[in-house]
Amino acid sequence: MSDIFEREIRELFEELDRAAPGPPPMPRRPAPSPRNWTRLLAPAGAAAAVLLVIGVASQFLLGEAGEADDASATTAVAAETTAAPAATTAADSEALGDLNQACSAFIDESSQAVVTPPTTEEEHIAALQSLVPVYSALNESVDMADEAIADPAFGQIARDSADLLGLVTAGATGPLEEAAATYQTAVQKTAGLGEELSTYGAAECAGLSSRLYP
Amino acid sequence: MRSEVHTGESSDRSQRRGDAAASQFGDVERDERIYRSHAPELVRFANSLVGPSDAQDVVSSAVLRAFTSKSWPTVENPRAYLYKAVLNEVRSDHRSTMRRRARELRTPAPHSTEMPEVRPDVYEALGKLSARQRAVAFLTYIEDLDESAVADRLGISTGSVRQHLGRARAKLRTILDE
Repeated sequence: MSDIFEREIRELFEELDRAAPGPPPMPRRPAPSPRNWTRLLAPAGAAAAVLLVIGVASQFLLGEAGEADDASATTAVAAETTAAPAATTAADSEALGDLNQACSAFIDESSQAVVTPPTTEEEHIAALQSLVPVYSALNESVDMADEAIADPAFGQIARDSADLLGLVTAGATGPLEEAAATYQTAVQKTAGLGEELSTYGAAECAGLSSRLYP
Repeated sequence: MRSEVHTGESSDRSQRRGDAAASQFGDVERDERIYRSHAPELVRFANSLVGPSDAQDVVSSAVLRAFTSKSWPTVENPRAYLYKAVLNEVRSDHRSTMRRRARELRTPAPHSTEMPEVRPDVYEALGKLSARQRAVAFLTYIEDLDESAVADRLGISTGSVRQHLGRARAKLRTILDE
């Protein structure tokens, strides 16, 4: 093999190599849908309800709303609104940004959390451990929404959310023999929270809708 | 709105919990660390196999496949494993890749202004090589690896490396002499 030939081959690869793009974002493990924590723990659809309420809170901040009675549209507001309209104040924009950030974190955490139905004490502990960041992100979102809405009725939801986070956190680090009972309590309380959120979100959305489209 | 966290459990219990959690949910931090370390070189490697249009997609698919593999938590050499995953991804997608490449050769895709353009004859020349021949040649000529290192990276024997490199050179010689 001649040196010239070797150099020509190297140049071919070098030219292609110079066109290489940068690395893509790290791909995430998809959460298998039947094991998604929201399906396991929250038959009332806590995640969707949280997004609904956060969407309502966004609209309180924005001072305007689109199709507020449409859950998917409201969810889209919560998930996708990153820039507030020019009419909103800087403080509102900042609060809305925080709310969306908290909402995104909750979506990320809940989509990554995978809980197989636990049977042993160790599995119950592992399940609770994996749910701590989910409940933490959920509570963060609810806190943000609570600040935006400033409604005593929603304040109770925020307190229940904080209690639930406390329960799961304590269970994840508590005695092994209590893990199963804590897990079952968390399941029940999550379902209850989901119902509270659904009710509140639906009522607020209906109220907004009637004001906007009398 | 935050509750206190209980502390004071035994290290043995912590270990059992950690093992249970790790086996059930995987080690995301480890994955992120590995990905950050190797993603740029994996994309360059994929680029040498399928070109810039599909390099990122190939890496994403290969990495996701690796991360969700049952054997991934016990892999001792993640770098080599990911190189093999990228190569396998390309080989399993070979037919559609070849069809797309043929289309690109007929109508070169516009490149981003941030990327240097690649002459069509480069695609044409390297397109004559199989995925393994390209992989071996890339690691030899661009990464400057010797036979043994290429064999380790791709999980093949040094004999196979010699064979693939020899065939790659022979094909390229024919093309370059034309």
